[in-house]
Amino acid sequence: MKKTYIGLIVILLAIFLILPYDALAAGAKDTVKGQIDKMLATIKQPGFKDQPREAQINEVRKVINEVFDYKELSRRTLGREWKKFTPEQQTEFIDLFQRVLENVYADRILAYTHEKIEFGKETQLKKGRMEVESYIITTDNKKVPIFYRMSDKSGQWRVYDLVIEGISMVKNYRGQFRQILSKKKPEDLLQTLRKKAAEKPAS
Amino acid sequence: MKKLLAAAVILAFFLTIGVFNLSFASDREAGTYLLAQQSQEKSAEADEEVDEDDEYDDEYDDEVVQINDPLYRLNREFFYFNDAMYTAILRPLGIGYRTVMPSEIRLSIKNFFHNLRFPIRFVNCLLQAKGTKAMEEFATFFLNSTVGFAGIQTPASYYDSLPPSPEDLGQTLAVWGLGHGFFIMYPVFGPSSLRDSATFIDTLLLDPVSWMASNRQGNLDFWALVAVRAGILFNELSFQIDDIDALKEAVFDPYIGIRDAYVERRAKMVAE
Repeated sequence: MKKTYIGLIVILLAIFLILPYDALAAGAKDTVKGQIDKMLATIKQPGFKDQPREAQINEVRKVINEVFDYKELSRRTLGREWKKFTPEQQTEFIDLFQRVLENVYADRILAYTHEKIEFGKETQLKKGRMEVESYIITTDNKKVPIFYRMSDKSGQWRVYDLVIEGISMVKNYRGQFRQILSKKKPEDLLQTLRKKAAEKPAS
Repeated sequence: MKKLLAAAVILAFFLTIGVFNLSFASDREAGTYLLAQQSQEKSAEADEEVDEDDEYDDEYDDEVVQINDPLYRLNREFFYFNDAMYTAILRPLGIGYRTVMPSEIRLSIKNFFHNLRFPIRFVNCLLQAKGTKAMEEFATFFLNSTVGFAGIQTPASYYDSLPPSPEDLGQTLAVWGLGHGFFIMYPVFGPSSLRDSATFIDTLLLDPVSWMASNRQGNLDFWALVAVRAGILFNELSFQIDDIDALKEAVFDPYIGIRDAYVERRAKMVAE
Protein backbone atom coordinates (compact mmCIF):
# COMPACT_ATOMS: atom_id res chain seq x y z
CA MET A 1 0.00 0.00 0.00
CA LYS A 2 2.72 2.38 1.05
CA LYS A 3 4.66 1.52 -2.04
CA THR A 4 1.83 2.59 -4.30
CA TYR A 5 1.68 5.98 -2.56
CA ILE A 6 5.36 6.47 -2.96
CA GLY A 7 5.09 5.41 -6.55
CA LEU A 8 2.27 7.89 -7.12
CA ILE A 9 4.18 10.70 -5.48
CA VAL A 10 7.22 9.92 -7.57
CA ILE A 11 5.15 9.96 -10.72
CA LEU A 12 3.46 13.22 -9.76
CA LEU A 13 6.80 14.78 -8.93
CA ALA A 14 8.18 13.58 -12.21
CA ILE A 15 5.26 15.13 -14.06
CA PHE A 16 5.74 18.45 -12.30
CA LEU A 17 9.43 18.36 -13.06
CA ILE A 18 8.92 17.51 -16.67
CA LEU A 19 6.12 19.97 -17.35
CA PRO A 20 8.05 23.25 -17.50
CA TYR A 21 10.78 21.69 -19.62
CA ASP A 22 8.13 20.36 -21.87
CA ALA A 23 6.65 23.81 -22.23
CA LEU A 24 10.01 25.12 -23.36
CA ALA A 25 10.51 22.16 -25.61
CA ALA A 26 7.22 23.24 -27.19
CA GLY A 27 9.72 24.01 -29.80
CA ALA A 28 11.12 26.76 -31.92
CA LYS A 29 9.02 25.84 -34.90
CA ASP A 30 5.69 25.85 -33.05
CA THR A 31 6.57 29.17 -31.45
CA VAL A 32 7.45 30.99 -34.64
CA LYS A 33 4.59 29.34 -36.52
CA GLY A 34 2.17 30.53 -33.85
CA GLN A 35 3.56 34.03 -34.09
CA ILE A 36 3.33 34.12 -37.87
CA ASP A 37 -0.25 32.88 -37.69
CA LYS A 38 -1.00 35.60 -35.18
CA MET A 39 0.56 38.16 -37.51
CA LEU A 40 -1.54 37.00 -40.44
CA ALA A 41 -4.66 37.00 -38.30
CA THR A 42 -3.86 40.56 -37.25
CA ILE A 43 -3.49 41.96 -40.75
CA LYS A 44 -6.40 39.95 -42.11
CA GLN A 45 -8.92 40.90 -39.45
CA PRO A 46 -11.84 42.85 -40.88
CA GLY A 47 -11.36 46.59 -40.81
CA PHE A 48 -7.61 46.41 -40.26
CA LYS A 49 -6.77 48.00 -43.59
CA ASP A 50 -9.25 50.80 -42.97
CA GLN A 51 -7.26 52.13 -40.05
CA PRO A 52 -4.72 54.88 -40.58
CA ARG A 53 -1.32 53.55 -41.53
CA GLU A 54 0.23 54.62 -38.27
CA ALA A 55 -2.25 52.49 -36.31
CA GLN A 56 -1.65 49.53 -38.62
CA ILE A 57 2.07 49.78 -38.10
CA ASN A 58 1.64 49.98 -34.34
CA GLU A 59 -0.39 46.81 -34.25
CA VAL A 60 2.01 44.91 -36.47
CA ARG A 61 4.93 46.21 -34.44
CA LYS A 62 3.49 44.66 -31.28
CA VAL A 63 3.55 41.20 -32.84
CA ILE A 64 6.99 41.69 -34.41
CA ASN A 65 8.43 42.53 -31.01
CA GLU A 66 7.24 39.21 -29.61
CA VAL A 67 9.09 37.43 -32.38
CA PHE A 68 12.55 38.96 -32.14
CA ASP A 69 15.09 38.78 -29.36
CA TYR A 70 16.58 42.20 -30.03
CA LYS A 71 19.27 41.93 -27.41
CA GLU A 72 20.63 38.69 -28.78
CA LEU A 73 20.23 39.98 -32.30
CA SER A 74 22.13 43.19 -31.54
CA ARG A 75 24.96 41.42 -29.78
CA ARG A 76 25.34 38.98 -32.60
CA THR A 77 25.25 41.71 -35.20
CA LEU A 78 27.99 43.70 -33.55
CA GLY A 79 29.97 40.59 -32.66
CA ARG A 80 33.35 41.59 -31.33
CA GLU A 81 32.55 45.27 -31.77
CA TRP A 82 29.98 44.90 -28.97
CA LYS A 83 32.68 45.33 -26.36
CA LYS A 84 33.71 48.67 -27.82
CA PHE A 85 30.34 50.04 -26.75
CA THR A 86 29.75 51.23 -23.20
CA PRO A 87 26.75 49.65 -21.41
CA GLU A 88 24.72 52.81 -22.08
CA GLN A 89 25.67 52.74 -25.72
CA GLN A 90 24.76 49.08 -25.90
CA THR A 91 21.32 49.73 -24.48
CA GLU A 92 20.77 52.56 -26.90
CA PHE A 93 22.02 50.45 -29.78
CA ILE A 94 19.51 47.70 -29.01
CA ASP A 95 16.71 50.23 -28.76
CA LEU A 96 17.60 52.02 -32.01
CA PHE A 97 18.30 48.88 -34.00
CA GLN A 98 14.96 47.55 -32.82
CA ARG A 99 13.18 50.64 -34.11
CA VAL A 100 14.93 50.45 -37.47
CA LEU A 101 14.08 46.76 -37.92
CA GLU A 102 10.51 47.31 -36.73
CA ASN A 103 9.98 49.88 -39.43
CA VAL A 104 11.54 47.73 -42.11
CA TYR A 105 9.53 44.64 -41.24
CA ALA A 106 6.26 46.44 -40.50
CA ASP A 107 6.56 47.84 -44.01
CA ARG A 108 7.19 44.47 -45.56
CA ILE A 109 4.40 42.80 -43.63
CA LEU A 110 1.87 45.45 -44.60
CA ALA A 111 2.91 44.96 -48.23
CA TYR A 112 2.14 41.26 -47.82
CA THR A 113 -0.76 40.28 -50.02
CA HIS A 114 -1.89 36.76 -50.66
CA GLU A 115 1.30 34.79 -50.72
CA LYS A 116 1.22 31.53 -48.83
CA ILE A 117 3.62 30.54 -46.08
CA GLU A 118 4.83 26.99 -45.65
CA PHE A 119 6.95 25.59 -42.86
CA GLY A 120 9.69 23.04 -43.33
CA LYS A 121 11.87 21.20 -40.87
CA GLU A 122 13.69 22.54 -37.84
CA THR A 123 17.29 21.71 -37.12
CA GLN A 124 19.42 22.27 -34.08
CA LEU A 125 22.42 24.51 -34.76
CA LYS A 126 23.83 24.25 -31.26
CA LYS A 127 22.42 23.70 -27.83
CA GLY A 128 19.71 26.31 -27.33
CA ARG A 129 19.80 27.40 -30.96
CA MET A 130 17.45 26.20 -33.66
CA GLU A 131 16.89 26.95 -37.31
CA VAL A 132 13.32 26.76 -38.58
CA GLU A 133 12.78 26.59 -42.32
CA SER A 134 9.88 28.36 -43.94
CA TYR A 135 8.97 29.28 -47.49
CA ILE A 136 6.91 32.09 -48.90
CA ILE A 137 5.06 30.92 -51.97
CA THR A 138 4.73 33.93 -54.22
CA THR A 139 1.79 34.59 -56.51
CA ASP A 140 3.72 33.22 -59.47
CA ASN A 141 4.38 30.04 -57.51
CA LYS A 142 8.00 30.64 -56.59
CA LYS A 143 9.39 29.45 -53.29
CA VAL A 144 11.33 32.05 -51.35
CA PRO A 145 13.18 30.38 -48.47
CA ILE A 146 13.14 32.26 -45.17
CA PHE A 147 14.93 30.53 -42.33
CA TYR A 148 14.43 31.69 -38.74
CA ARG A 149 17.36 31.24 -36.41
CA MET A 150 16.10 31.12 -32.87
CA SER A 151 17.54 31.02 -29.38
CA ASP A 152 15.92 30.18 -26.05
CA LYS A 153 18.23 32.46 -24.10
CA SER A 154 15.41 34.80 -23.06
CA GLY A 155 13.40 31.90 -21.60
CA GLN A 156 11.36 31.33 -24.72
CA TRP A 157 12.18 30.76 -28.34
CA ARG A 158 12.86 34.01 -30.09
CA VAL A 159 14.32 34.92 -33.44
CA TYR A 160 17.84 36.34 -33.52
CA ASP A 161 18.50 36.05 -37.25
CA LEU A 162 16.59 35.77 -40.50
CA VAL A 163 18.21 34.01 -43.43
CA ILE A 164 16.45 34.97 -46.64
CA GLU A 165 17.58 33.12 -49.78
CA GLY A 166 20.80 32.22 -48.06
CA ILE A 167 21.50 35.78 -46.95
CA SER A 168 21.83 36.14 -43.19
CA MET A 169 20.44 39.44 -41.97
CA VAL A 170 22.74 39.51 -38.96
CA LYS A 171 25.83 38.68 -41.00
CA ASN A 172 24.98 41.29 -43.61
CA TYR A 173 24.50 44.02 -41.01
CA ARG A 174 27.66 42.88 -39.26
CA GLY A 175 29.63 43.53 -42.44
CA GLN A 176 28.08 46.96 -42.85
CA PHE A 177 28.60 47.97 -39.21
CA ARG A 178 32.15 46.71 -39.22
CA GLN A 179 32.87 48.79 -42.29
CA ILE A 180 31.45 51.86 -40.55
CA LEU A 181 33.23 51.13 -37.27
CA SER A 182 36.52 50.61 -39.06
CA LYS A 183 36.82 54.37 -39.51
CA LYS A 184 34.27 55.77 -37.07
CA LYS A 185 33.48 55.55 -33.37
CA PRO A 186 30.51 53.74 -31.80
CA GLU A 187 28.96 57.14 -31.13
CA ASP A 188 28.99 57.92 -34.86
CA LEU A 189 27.26 54.65 -35.63
CA LEU A 190 24.64 55.44 -32.99
CA GLN A 191 24.13 58.83 -34.62
CA THR A 192 23.51 57.11 -37.98
CA LEU A 193 21.06 54.76 -36.28
CA ARG A 194 19.26 57.64 -34.59
CA LYS A 195 18.73 59.28 -37.95
CA LYS A 196 17.54 56.06 -39.53
CA ALA A 197 15.22 55.23 -36.63
CA ALA A 198 13.60 58.65 -36.85
CA GLU A 199 12.75 58.18 -40.52
CA LYS A 200 9.12 57.44 -41.09
CA PRO A 201 8.59 54.18 -42.92
CA ALA A 202 7.83 54.87 -46.57
CA SER A 203 4.29 54.23 -47.64
CA MET B 1 33.29 45.09 -87.71
CA LYS B 2 30.26 47.06 -86.66
CA LYS B 3 29.89 44.79 -83.66
CA LEU B 4 33.43 45.46 -82.54
CA LEU B 5 33.01 49.16 -82.99
CA ALA B 6 29.86 49.17 -80.92
CA ALA B 7 31.51 47.15 -78.18
CA ALA B 8 34.44 49.55 -78.17
CA VAL B 9 32.12 52.53 -77.92
CA ILE B 10 30.31 51.02 -74.96
CA LEU B 11 33.55 50.14 -73.24
CA ALA B 12 34.90 53.61 -73.78
CA PHE B 13 31.67 55.02 -72.40
CA PHE B 14 31.93 53.05 -69.19
CA LEU B 15 35.61 53.81 -68.81
CA THR B 16 34.91 57.49 -69.22
CA ILE B 17 32.25 57.33 -66.57
CA GLY B 18 34.62 55.50 -64.29
CA VAL B 19 37.42 58.00 -64.71
CA PHE B 20 35.01 60.88 -64.47
CA ASN B 21 33.49 59.62 -61.26
CA LEU B 22 36.84 58.82 -59.77
CA SER B 23 38.35 62.20 -60.48
CA PHE B 24 35.47 63.81 -58.67
CA ALA B 25 35.20 61.49 -55.78
CA SER B 26 38.78 60.48 -55.23
CA ASP B 27 38.79 61.88 -51.73
CA ARG B 28 35.50 60.34 -50.69
CA GLU B 29 36.39 56.78 -49.87
CA ALA B 30 40.09 56.85 -50.53
CA GLY B 31 41.89 53.91 -49.11
CA THR B 32 39.16 52.96 -46.70
CA TYR B 33 39.15 49.39 -47.82
CA LEU B 34 42.76 48.91 -46.96
CA LEU B 35 42.19 50.62 -43.66
CA ALA B 36 39.19 48.47 -42.94
CA GLN B 37 41.14 45.35 -43.64
CA GLN B 38 44.02 46.38 -41.47
CA SER B 39 41.83 47.25 -38.55
CA GLN B 40 39.97 43.98 -38.97
CA GLU B 41 43.16 42.05 -38.76
CA LYS B 42 44.29 44.03 -35.79
CA SER B 43 41.10 43.53 -33.83
CA ALA B 44 41.10 39.87 -34.77
CA GLU B 45 44.44 39.52 -33.09
CA ALA B 46 43.28 41.47 -30.08
CA ASP B 47 40.14 39.42 -29.91
CA GLU B 48 41.94 36.21 -29.26
CA GLU B 49 43.52 37.50 -26.11
CA VAL B 50 40.62 39.31 -24.51
CA ASP B 51 38.05 38.24 -22.06
CA GLU B 52 36.82 34.76 -21.73
CA ASP B 53 34.45 35.95 -19.05
CA ASP B 54 31.96 37.23 -21.58
CA GLU B 55 29.44 34.43 -21.71
CA TYR B 56 28.42 35.29 -25.25
CA ASP B 57 31.83 35.31 -26.75
CA ASP B 58 32.40 31.75 -27.74
CA GLU B 59 28.98 31.48 -29.26
CA TYR B 60 29.36 34.26 -31.73
CA ASP B 61 30.14 33.15 -35.16
CA ASP B 62 31.79 36.45 -35.69
CA GLU B 63 32.73 36.14 -39.30
CA VAL B 64 31.79 38.56 -42.04
CA VAL B 65 31.37 37.73 -45.71
CA GLN B 66 34.76 37.31 -47.33
CA ILE B 67 35.55 38.47 -50.84
CA ASN B 68 38.55 40.16 -52.43
CA ASP B 69 37.71 43.65 -53.49
CA PRO B 70 40.80 45.25 -55.03
CA LEU B 71 38.60 47.45 -57.23
CA TYR B 72 36.84 48.73 -54.12
CA ARG B 73 36.95 52.41 -55.06
CA LEU B 74 35.92 51.92 -58.66
CA ASN B 75 33.24 49.43 -57.64
CA ARG B 76 31.82 51.87 -55.15
CA GLU B 77 31.69 54.60 -57.76
CA PHE B 78 29.93 52.29 -60.18
CA PHE B 79 27.54 51.38 -57.41
CA TYR B 80 26.68 55.03 -56.83
CA PHE B 81 26.33 55.49 -60.57
CA ASN B 82 23.93 52.55 -60.81
CA ASP B 83 21.98 53.78 -57.85
CA ALA B 84 21.69 57.27 -59.31
CA MET B 85 20.62 55.86 -62.67
CA TYR B 86 18.04 53.68 -60.96
CA THR B 87 16.63 56.48 -58.84
CA ALA B 88 16.56 59.10 -61.58
CA ILE B 89 15.51 57.05 -64.59
CA LEU B 90 14.71 53.38 -64.11
CA ARG B 91 12.55 53.59 -61.01
CA PRO B 92 10.17 56.28 -62.29
CA LEU B 93 10.00 54.56 -65.70
CA GLY B 94 9.43 51.22 -64.00
CA ILE B 95 6.61 52.57 -61.86
CA GLY B 96 4.98 54.06 -64.95
CA TYR B 97 5.36 50.81 -66.83
CA ARG B 98 4.02 48.84 -63.90
CA THR B 99 0.97 51.10 -63.72
CA VAL B 100 0.19 50.89 -67.42
CA MET B 101 1.03 47.26 -68.07
CA PRO B 102 -1.08 44.62 -66.30
CA SER B 103 0.97 42.26 -64.17
CA GLU B 104 -0.28 39.26 -66.17
CA ILE B 105 1.38 40.58 -69.30
CA ARG B 106 4.58 41.52 -67.51
CA LEU B 107 4.72 38.08 -65.94
CA SER B 108 4.12 36.42 -69.31
CA ILE B 109 6.99 38.35 -70.86
CA LYS B 110 9.25 37.44 -67.96
CA ASN B 111 8.27 33.76 -68.12
CA PHE B 112 8.68 33.62 -71.88
CA PHE B 113 12.25 34.87 -71.86
CA HIS B 114 13.12 32.81 -68.81
CA ASN B 115 11.91 29.69 -70.58
CA LEU B 116 13.87 30.68 -73.67
CA ARG B 117 17.10 30.67 -71.71
CA PHE B 118 16.68 26.95 -71.05
CA PRO B 119 19.89 26.01 -72.95
CA ILE B 120 21.96 27.93 -70.41
CA ARG B 121 20.52 26.02 -67.47
CA PHE B 122 20.55 22.69 -69.27
CA VAL B 123 24.12 22.88 -70.55
CA ASN B 124 25.42 24.06 -67.20
CA CYS B 125 23.62 21.25 -65.38
CA LEU B 126 25.45 18.88 -67.71
CA LEU B 127 28.77 20.66 -67.26
CA GLN B 128 28.33 20.18 -63.51
CA ALA B 129 27.43 16.53 -64.04
CA LYS B 130 24.03 17.08 -62.46
CA GLY B 131 22.08 14.55 -64.48
CA THR B 132 18.88 14.63 -62.48
CA LYS B 133 18.74 18.41 -62.55
CA ALA B 134 19.37 18.40 -66.28
CA MET B 135 16.43 16.07 -66.76
CA GLU B 136 14.25 18.17 -64.48
CA GLU B 137 15.17 21.27 -66.43
CA PHE B 138 14.38 19.50 -69.67
CA ALA B 139 11.02 18.33 -68.36
CA THR B 140 10.27 21.83 -67.11
CA PHE B 141 11.18 23.32 -70.48
CA PHE B 142 9.09 20.77 -72.32
CA LEU B 143 6.07 21.24 -70.09
CA ASN B 144 6.22 25.03 -70.05
CA SER B 145 6.84 25.25 -73.79
CA THR B 146 3.86 23.10 -74.67
CA VAL B 147 1.18 23.22 -71.99
CA GLY B 148 2.48 26.62 -70.89
CA PHE B 149 2.05 28.23 -74.34
CA ALA B 150 5.70 28.73 -75.33
CA GLY B 151 6.69 29.40 -71.75
CA ILE B 152 4.22 32.18 -71.06
CA GLN B 153 2.82 30.14 -68.24
CA THR B 154 4.70 27.91 -65.84
CA PRO B 155 2.72 24.72 -65.27
CA ALA B 156 5.94 23.00 -64.19
CA SER B 157 6.09 25.16 -61.09
CA TYR B 158 3.13 23.21 -59.69
CA TYR B 159 5.22 20.05 -59.52
CA ASP B 160 7.40 19.79 -56.45
CA SER B 161 9.45 17.21 -58.31
CA LEU B 162 10.49 19.89 -60.81
CA PRO B 163 12.33 22.48 -58.74
CA PRO B 164 13.98 25.26 -60.72
CA SER B 165 17.75 25.00 -60.97
CA PRO B 166 19.06 28.31 -62.23
CA GLU B 167 22.53 27.04 -63.12
CA ASP B 168 24.97 29.24 -65.01
CA LEU B 169 28.61 29.21 -66.07
CA GLY B 170 29.71 31.09 -62.95
CA GLN B 171 28.32 28.30 -60.81
CA THR B 172 29.82 25.68 -63.12
CA LEU B 173 33.27 27.20 -62.65
CA ALA B 174 32.66 27.26 -58.90
CA VAL B 175 31.77 23.58 -58.95
CA TRP B 176 34.98 22.98 -60.87
CA GLY B 177 36.83 24.55 -57.96
CA LEU B 178 37.30 28.15 -59.05
CA GLY B 179 36.96 30.93 -56.49
CA HIS B 180 35.36 34.31 -57.14
CA GLY B 181 38.70 35.92 -57.89
CA PHE B 182 37.47 39.34 -56.91
CA PHE B 183 34.29 41.32 -56.72
CA ILE B 184 33.17 43.45 -59.66
CA MET B 185 30.36 45.97 -59.62
CA TYR B 186 29.47 46.44 -63.25
CA PRO B 187 27.86 49.64 -64.36
CA VAL B 188 24.26 48.88 -65.39
CA PHE B 189 24.61 45.10 -64.89
CA GLY B 190 25.33 45.28 -61.18
CA PRO B 191 27.19 42.93 -58.84
CA SER B 192 29.35 40.11 -60.17
CA SER B 193 32.85 38.72 -59.78
CA LEU B 194 35.69 37.77 -62.05
CA ARG B 195 34.44 34.20 -62.07
CA ASP B 196 30.77 35.06 -62.38
CA SER B 197 31.50 37.30 -65.35
CA ALA B 198 31.54 34.02 -67.24
CA THR B 199 27.75 34.26 -67.21
CA PHE B 200 28.12 36.81 -70.03
CA ILE B 201 29.45 33.94 -72.12
CA ASP B 202 26.25 32.03 -71.35
CA THR B 203 24.21 34.89 -72.68
CA LEU B 204 26.40 35.28 -75.76
CA LEU B 205 26.52 31.61 -76.76
CA LEU B 206 23.50 29.88 -75.27
CA ASP B 207 20.75 32.48 -75.15
CA PRO B 208 18.47 32.08 -78.19
CA VAL B 209 18.00 35.84 -78.26
CA SER B 210 21.68 36.11 -79.21
CA TRP B 211 21.26 33.41 -81.85
CA MET B 212 18.48 35.36 -83.50
CA ALA B 213 20.74 38.35 -83.87
CA SER B 214 23.74 36.48 -85.21
CA ASN B 215 21.64 34.68 -87.81
CA ARG B 216 21.24 37.87 -89.75
CA GLN B 217 24.58 37.83 -91.44
CA GLY B 218 26.72 40.88 -91.98
CA ASN B 219 24.56 43.78 -91.05
CA LEU B 220 23.47 42.39 -87.76
CA ASP B 221 21.48 44.83 -85.80
CA PHE B 222 23.51 45.15 -82.66
CA TRP B 223 21.42 47.91 -81.21
CA ALA B 224 18.21 46.00 -81.77
CA LEU B 225 19.72 43.22 -79.69
CA VAL B 226 20.72 45.67 -76.98
CA ALA B 227 17.22 47.11 -77.01
CA VAL B 228 15.61 43.69 -76.66
CA ARG B 229 17.94 42.79 -73.81
CA ALA B 230 17.30 46.09 -72.08
CA GLY B 231 13.58 45.49 -72.50
CA ILE B 232 13.80 42.05 -70.92
CA LEU B 233 15.78 43.37 -67.96
CA PHE B 234 13.50 46.36 -67.56
CA ASN B 235 10.46 44.13 -67.53
CA GLU B 236 12.05 42.04 -64.80
CA LEU B 237 12.98 45.12 -62.85
CA SER B 238 9.32 46.14 -62.72
CA PHE B 239 8.74 43.24 -60.31
CA GLN B 240 11.53 44.27 -57.99
CA ILE B 241 10.89 47.96 -57.36
CA ASP B 242 9.24 47.43 -53.97
CA ASP B 243 11.96 45.05 -52.85
CA ILE B 244 14.66 47.48 -53.88
CA ASP B 245 12.91 50.31 -52.05
CA ALA B 246 12.63 48.20 -48.90
CA LEU B 247 16.26 47.18 -49.19
CA LYS B 248 17.45 50.75 -49.53
CA GLU B 249 15.50 51.66 -46.45
CA ALA B 250 17.07 48.84 -44.48
CA VAL B 251 20.78 49.33 -45.18
CA PHE B 252 23.47 51.45 -43.56
CA ASP B 253 26.28 50.92 -46.03
CA PRO B 254 24.42 49.91 -49.18
CA TYR B 255 27.54 48.98 -51.15
CA ILE B 256 28.80 46.57 -48.50
CA GLY B 257 25.27 45.26 -47.96
CA ILE B 258 24.76 44.49 -51.65
CA ARG B 259 28.25 43.07 -52.12
CA ASP B 260 28.02 40.69 -49.19
CA ALA B 261 24.46 39.68 -50.05
CA TYR B 262 25.59 38.86 -53.59
CA VAL B 263 28.41 36.66 -52.35
CA GLU B 264 26.18 34.80 -49.87
CA ARG B 265 23.43 34.26 -52.39
CA ARG B 266 25.84 32.94 -54.99
CA ALA B 267 27.35 30.58 -52.42
CA LYS B 268 23.90 29.17 -51.77
CA MET B 269 23.21 28.81 -55.50
CA VAL B 270 26.50 27.00 -56.01
CA ALA B 271 25.71 24.66 -53.13
CA GLU B 272 22.37 23.70 -54.62
